[in-house]
Amino acid sequence: MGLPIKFNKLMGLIGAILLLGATPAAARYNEAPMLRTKVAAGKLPPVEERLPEEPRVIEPLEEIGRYGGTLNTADLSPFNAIEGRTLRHHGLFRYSGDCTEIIPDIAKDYEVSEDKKTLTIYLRKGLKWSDGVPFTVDDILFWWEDYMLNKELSPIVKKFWKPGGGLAKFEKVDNYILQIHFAVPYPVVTLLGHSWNSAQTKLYDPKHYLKKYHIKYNPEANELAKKAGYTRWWELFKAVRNPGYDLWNLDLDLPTLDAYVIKKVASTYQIWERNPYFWQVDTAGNQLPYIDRIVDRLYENQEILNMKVTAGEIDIVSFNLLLGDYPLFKENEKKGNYHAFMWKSAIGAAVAFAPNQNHPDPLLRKIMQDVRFRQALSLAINREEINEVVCFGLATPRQATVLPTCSYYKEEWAKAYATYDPQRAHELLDKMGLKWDKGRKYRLRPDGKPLNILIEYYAGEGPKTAICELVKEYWEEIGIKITLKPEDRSYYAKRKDAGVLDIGLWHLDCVTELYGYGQPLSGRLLSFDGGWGWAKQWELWFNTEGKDGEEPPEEMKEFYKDMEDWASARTKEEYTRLAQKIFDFHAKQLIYIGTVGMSPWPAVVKNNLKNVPTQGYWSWDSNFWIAFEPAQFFFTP
Amino acid sequence: MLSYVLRRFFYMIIVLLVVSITAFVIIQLPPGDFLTSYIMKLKASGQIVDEAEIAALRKQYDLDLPIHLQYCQWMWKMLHGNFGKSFEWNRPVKDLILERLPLTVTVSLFTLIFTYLLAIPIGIYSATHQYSVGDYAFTVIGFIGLATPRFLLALILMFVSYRYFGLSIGGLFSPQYQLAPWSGAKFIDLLKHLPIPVVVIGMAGTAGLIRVMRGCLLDELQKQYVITARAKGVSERRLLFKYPVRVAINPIISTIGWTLPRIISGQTIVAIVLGLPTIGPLLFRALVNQDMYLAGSSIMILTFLTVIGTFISDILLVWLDPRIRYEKQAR
Repeated sequence: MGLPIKFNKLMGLIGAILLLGATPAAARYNEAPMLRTKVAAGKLPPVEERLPEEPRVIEPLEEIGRYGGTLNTADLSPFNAIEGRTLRHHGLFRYSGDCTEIIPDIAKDYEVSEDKKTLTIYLRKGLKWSDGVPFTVDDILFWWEDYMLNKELSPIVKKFWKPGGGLAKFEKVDNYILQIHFAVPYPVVTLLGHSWNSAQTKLYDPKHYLKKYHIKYNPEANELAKKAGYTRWWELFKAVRNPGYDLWNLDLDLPTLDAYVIKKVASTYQIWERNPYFWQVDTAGNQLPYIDRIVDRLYENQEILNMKVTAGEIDIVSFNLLLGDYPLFKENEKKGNYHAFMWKSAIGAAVAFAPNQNHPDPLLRKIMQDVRFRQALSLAINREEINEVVCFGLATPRQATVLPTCSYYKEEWAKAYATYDPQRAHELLDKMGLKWDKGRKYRLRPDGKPLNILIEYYAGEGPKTAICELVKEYWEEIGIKITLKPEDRSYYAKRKDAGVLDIGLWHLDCVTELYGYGQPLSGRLLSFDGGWGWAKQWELWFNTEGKDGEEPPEEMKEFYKDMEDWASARTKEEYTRLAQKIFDFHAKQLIYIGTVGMSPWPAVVKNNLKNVPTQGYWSWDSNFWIAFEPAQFFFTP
Repeated sequence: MLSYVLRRFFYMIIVLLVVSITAFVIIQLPPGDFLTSYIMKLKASGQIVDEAEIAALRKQYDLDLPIHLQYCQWMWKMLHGNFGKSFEWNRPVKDLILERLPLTVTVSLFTLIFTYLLAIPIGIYSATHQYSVGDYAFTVIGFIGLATPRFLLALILMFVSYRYFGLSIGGLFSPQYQLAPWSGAKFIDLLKHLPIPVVVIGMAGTAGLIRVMRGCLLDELQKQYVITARAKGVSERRLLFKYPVRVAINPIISTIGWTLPRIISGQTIVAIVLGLPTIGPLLFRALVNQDMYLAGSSIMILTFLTVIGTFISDILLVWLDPRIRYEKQAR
């Protein structure tokens, strides 16, 4: 992760110079040839007028690039067209690749008040939407007052914006300064680096464009919607605004702050063209992005996509590749004229198991709640072998916990019960009184029935099946009969939400410093991100303040309170102390049993595409490509 | 004749109605709905979705209504030409299907032509040269064609063309033509990409038709009128095409009705494997994601094609086969 950090420091330096009042080195800016023609034809104002007073200056990774070219990328689902999206999207802020720093992107800067109850956001003066209209605090207020607080558009104000029960207050200081006030100390800015259309952390919308669809500004909005084939105004508004799950079909005229503007949508591809008002420049004063166009193709299946990759028809792809196909990509490197390499994924565990401590069967519940049982399960897993067999030895065998990049990280968390020791596992289970059956093949429950455990799981996102099959062997070794049952995603979700899984299973993400910190902020304290359903009754008890569900044991109550306190920690010391307490508890209790973490993630980049790093963290947390500044990628001839 | 057509038409409406109900119910059967999968995806990626918000969303999209009301709403809109909106694509279902229809029809038509052009002559040859080397050769090939799963054939052809000819054959266009507007060059590019899908999709159908054609013709050739005609000195070729072939073709005509939807739905797996931008994969994706309006409307369109196809073949039969025609008139 060396490069982005160095890069951040450089950015800081440049920022400091700007703050000191020194003029930027390049007084005049340069622009892409295709835009220069338009300026000459009088169709576009000159570049100096299009850029904000203080554009964001990007230090290119290797060298100053050249303009031109079309970037071909690929996606597999219109719903999840993440490859294309993260190659062009920008938010007010972004994270560094390892999610330890917040970097202002669209915004110029931010400031958190002493009492942590006020966040001030400074915007760049003169920054414009892709149609040339200035972007101001009004666009943020529009999002807040007319979108988030509108009953029809957002029926519920998310808990996220109601810390301590009080609704956040948005205050316009002037056109470029916004203050957000909270009732309690609330470090919300730590989550703002994660920008996404559907997320509550994308704070702006183009007011000038969207207001004609809004009933408050246009009394005829309902008629407009009917004309477009909808029944109610908010349906059209939502369709135009693109709430995020429909990442594929966008309104062609919707102004954006991203690096590229949509030009054409078909059901098999999208074409994006450079945003003439994009607000980033390189250190030589060239307006970014370097590349003219992005074409994002939608392929029917993984095999076709792989073939297009190996044939060299795709310039850049990573999100849609699978680890198991890496040898195939390596083998065809020369033929396809690309290089294949691996990122580290910012994942705490490629598969984490969470025994259901609120199991409907009282006997099983008692077993699952016994920490010795969870310890035995963990000790029985041969993590080195999983690493070798499934991840080419490139992952890290570890317990399910946060990443080492977290400031409060302790090495012992990753090592807790993570060594392969089936003998000790046997002893623990013997001590629990789980007796063997006659043939000494499997263990029995206290009521004499065989101890059968069903592991239901969703097989997507990472090598879950391969890991599960190995773990099944390890656990049967210590006498626990395991049945594996891959399920459809929504069916798994139903089972998990009903709290009837024997052992929940998901990959453990959201374990980076900043983004992981956001989880307690969002009020999802016990379920972490909702993939396991290991304590549904307790969760209900907490959420209803004791009216429903089952009362958790004292240690759980304390754990819950610690997480709440952590979210509103006032000082760095308090933050670290509480974080360590929380993850000490995890390591001791083994709520999640990890396998291997920081597993490698393949990427393929064409050889003539430059300024693309070949190492770093690949993760949802840092928004995939966004962390690598795609606007400064360029093609050599 | 008119009353016959009218009666057929009436049956058609009833069939469509029954299918629409069945389709709608079956799509609703699996647990959850589109929002469940949507929310699961959001949650899986660490986004925050409140329970109350889910309920509100469900209400907004009318997913909280009882199933029969949802059905009525769907039908009502469909009668007004509004097929609803695909949740996954955020686009009107009509647009999505219309966008893929031309290529679907193209592939289907070429497959149909390929099937008939190959099956009928080979069937005739096999029947007239029964138990010859050629007949045996076609029989063997035909049975292989019937027995090979199409997706496997697609994979093998894909591998071979990639490995030995360096062609990545996924899709129907080369990258440079995919985005280009229609032109002569683009059409030629399409023609270059068509053979593999057409062969793969048409293979089983062709093999089946050869057997049908051969069997029917063999039956006819043994009939007395053939022997009589031959005895009267009618030339062998004229004899063959004037009567027995026309009769033997009957079963092929009467199955046109099934051929249309079979080509469209039967090509789903092949289209997914080969990455063809046709309706099949769209339907498949919609079913997996419980994108109910898209799935429901696609199924309705397939049904409509089947019914229309059957209708056409019924009328064709009456027109083609005098025996059926006279039977009707006699009654």
